[in-house]
Amino acid sequence: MRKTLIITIIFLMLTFGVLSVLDLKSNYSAEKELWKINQHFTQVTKDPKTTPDTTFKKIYQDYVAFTQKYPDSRLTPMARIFSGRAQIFLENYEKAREIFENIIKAYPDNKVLGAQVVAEIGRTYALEKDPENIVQTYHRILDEYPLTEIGLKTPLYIAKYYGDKKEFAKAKQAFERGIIHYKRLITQHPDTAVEYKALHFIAACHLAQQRWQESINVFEEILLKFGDKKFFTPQEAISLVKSINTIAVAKLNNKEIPVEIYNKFMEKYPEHPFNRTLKQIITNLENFDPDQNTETGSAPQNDSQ
Amino acid sequence: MKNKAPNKKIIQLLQTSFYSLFEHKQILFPFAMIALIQLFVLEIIYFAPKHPLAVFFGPIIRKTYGEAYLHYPFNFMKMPQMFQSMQIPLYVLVNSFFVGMAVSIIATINSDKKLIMKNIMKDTWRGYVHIVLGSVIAFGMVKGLNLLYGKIYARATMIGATEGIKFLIKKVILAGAPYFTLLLSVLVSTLLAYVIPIIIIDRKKIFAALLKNLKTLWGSFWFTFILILVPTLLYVPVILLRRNLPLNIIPELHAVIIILSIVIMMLIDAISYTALTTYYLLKKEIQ
Repeated sequence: MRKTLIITIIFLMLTFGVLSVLDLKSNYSAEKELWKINQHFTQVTKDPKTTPDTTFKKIYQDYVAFTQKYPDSRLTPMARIFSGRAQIFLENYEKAREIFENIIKAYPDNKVLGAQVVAEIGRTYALEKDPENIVQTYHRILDEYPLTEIGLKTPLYIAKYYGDKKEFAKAKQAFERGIIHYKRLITQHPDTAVEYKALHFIAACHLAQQRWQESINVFEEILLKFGDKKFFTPQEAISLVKSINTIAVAKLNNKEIPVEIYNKFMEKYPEHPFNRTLKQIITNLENFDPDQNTETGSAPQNDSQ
Repeated sequence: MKNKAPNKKIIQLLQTSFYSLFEHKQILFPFAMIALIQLFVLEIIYFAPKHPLAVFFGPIIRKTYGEAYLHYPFNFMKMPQMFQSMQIPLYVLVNSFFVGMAVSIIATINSDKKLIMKNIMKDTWRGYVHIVLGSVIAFGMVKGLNLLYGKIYARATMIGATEGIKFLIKKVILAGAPYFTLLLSVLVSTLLAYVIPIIIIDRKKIFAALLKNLKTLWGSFWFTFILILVPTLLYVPVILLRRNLPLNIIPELHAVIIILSIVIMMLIDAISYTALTTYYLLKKEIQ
């Protein structure tokens, strides 16, 4: 009995030892190390003013040590970004930008990473209150990473930047330039997810300028053009329909507009699974009395997607 | 003359059972084996997302739980659930065998016979199918009661009151969930307390054992319930730790709690089954 127990315990310990050794320097080990450094970083950035510089320096060194220990890990680019952020907290903005530029040079094919890193560079200029370089950074994203998620949103970020600074004329100009930029993207990438997203952003530009009819026209175009595409999910459809209904009823005070749009959709896609929901929405709209302030446009409770 | 029931002094019986574990360390062997097997399963779960076990377990974890749980620290957050799902086949097929062995060891020691492991294992194998069936019934009962409690829990979450008796009921049901679950498992253990001892000692088949179990319980239900409940209370600190430790900050604590629960369950099972088997043997002697 004792022998069996001892053998079992030894077997357990051996298995643990062997499997631990085999796992050294694996992706999992990298994840664990990076997570712990990130936890520490998150903790100290909750109140950076009371955190001594030595702590941020130590965190920076931890990230650098991580990138040296795991040079080929998929987590290394993020660790390098975090090391740049540690420099930002030390207010070494030049050093931070140097780190970020080196990341771009090290991973030239990774456009998503590149856009994120350039956005970090923009952050350093924002902290230095350098408006010229902030705008230049935005334009750099537009030129070098136009099709990334950040790149697609950048025209809106530029307009918001001017809006926050109360430079409304520049903000309006930025929206117009944004619409031109998105239309150019649509010409270059027709019938793709890029066009789909670009149209959404065009609608956002119109909405920000309270151009209600123009925004509804764009939503109509999205609904009719992309109704049969696989990225046009039920959630996307509901979101679009809610936007159309809200603008038409609350802003334009015209519930006929969405009814007309939905009828066009059902005519174009007679077998579409969303038609059942649309019919219910049309009924709700037709029964909607703005004076009684009842809710419109939401999907019926008993309808399942 | 009517036979007297054995002396129903719970604390005395539990004390005797506890000291028996040290006096006759062989009783601990099956429970130690259960704990070591569970630790091995935990080890596999711990290393499953890592190289080289990830080659085999990776697709299974990905399909069952999602990609995130192959990475740190989410693998630890899923660890209790993964471990719990492995408990079902372990409990039915493995733990039940070792508990049967423990009962056989206790019975052999009680009858002052020589303890030969080969015979113990033979005795246990003889009744293995019936022990497994008994475990399946126990698992089914626990699952059924937990599902019922789940419905009560779901109903409680819908209570909108923020004060008064309804709010109090809601708070008790929601906050007390792990304790109610523990109590339900004690209840099921009580209802089937003597099944394994009857199968091993009296060599009965499952249905005869269930019947005799009910007869044995008749008149000693609360005694048996408290006999099982008292050692089970050792598990309460594990529940409290699970609720109060910073599991989000130190994900490894999930594994630490599971290890602690394995050790404590080993102790609980050892004391409970020793006490139950001793009581059953005493009752048999008197009858």
